[in-house]
Amino acid sequence: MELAIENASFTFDKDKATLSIEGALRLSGVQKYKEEGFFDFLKDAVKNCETTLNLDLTKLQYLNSSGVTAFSRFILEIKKEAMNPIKVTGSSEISWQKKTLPNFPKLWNQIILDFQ
Amino acid sequence: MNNLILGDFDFIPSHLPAEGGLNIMINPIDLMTSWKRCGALANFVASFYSDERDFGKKLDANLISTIFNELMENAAKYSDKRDALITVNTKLYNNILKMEVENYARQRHFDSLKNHFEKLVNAKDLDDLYVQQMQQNIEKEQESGIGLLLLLKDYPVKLGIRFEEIDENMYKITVQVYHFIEPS
Repeated sequence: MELAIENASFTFDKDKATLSIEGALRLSGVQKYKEEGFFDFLKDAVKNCETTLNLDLTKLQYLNSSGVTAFSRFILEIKKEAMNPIKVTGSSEISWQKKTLPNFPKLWNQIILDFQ
Repeated sequence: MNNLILGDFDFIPSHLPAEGGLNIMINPIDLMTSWKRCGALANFVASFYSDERDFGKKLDANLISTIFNELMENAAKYSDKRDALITVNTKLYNNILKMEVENYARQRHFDSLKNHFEKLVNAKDLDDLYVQQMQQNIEKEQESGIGLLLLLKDYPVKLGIRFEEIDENMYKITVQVYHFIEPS
């Protein structure tokens, strides 16, 4: 499964239970993320995984605060809907990731965070 | 109210000479019609400052672009006066990059930004505020200036804001971010 949103590409590999996002995500608001299919794509990936989904962000160069809100909302929604928790993989080479990704486990302590 | 100042506004006074600087003026309509221009400007400013040969130090382009992009997106979203330009002033001091963005907003945006910023500067725990705001976002389907909260909470910055009343329904808003350059 694949999805393209402006300057970012989303690829879900069911066999590897990995959803990779590459590029830059800087849409003008959370509603825009919703309209572009962000939430549906991520939730479908979680539903289609028999094991823990690895959300691989190691090639996501930029994310704006609306994007942080969108990921945060996705995490809170899967928690609320009692779906499987996910693993988030970030890059220690990309500064925004080192600053921002540690926020996600604060929303749900079942979220695993790993840096490469 | 004529003027209101919150946070670390004028942490470095404007008259102090800087090592380098870059100023930009842009019409808000140009950002609203092409949102990607916020990111393009942010990447440009980051690229401008991240060349260590020019300044003898290594500035982190990814951090500068991310911080500056939030300031541009806020100014683009909350600019209401069609004939007033957004003014951007950036200055590099020893280990601090000062980024200042001025725009004009109506009463409702002033109220919203003022309330949000007061919450930020008065919060005892910004992590708690982040979790609380994300939960509210789900319940109320609204987004409320999370960018400034994330900058203040997670980035090596000081933030200040000044509101100047222009007339009964128009405010000039100046946001200053002081980015402390981390040793590479």
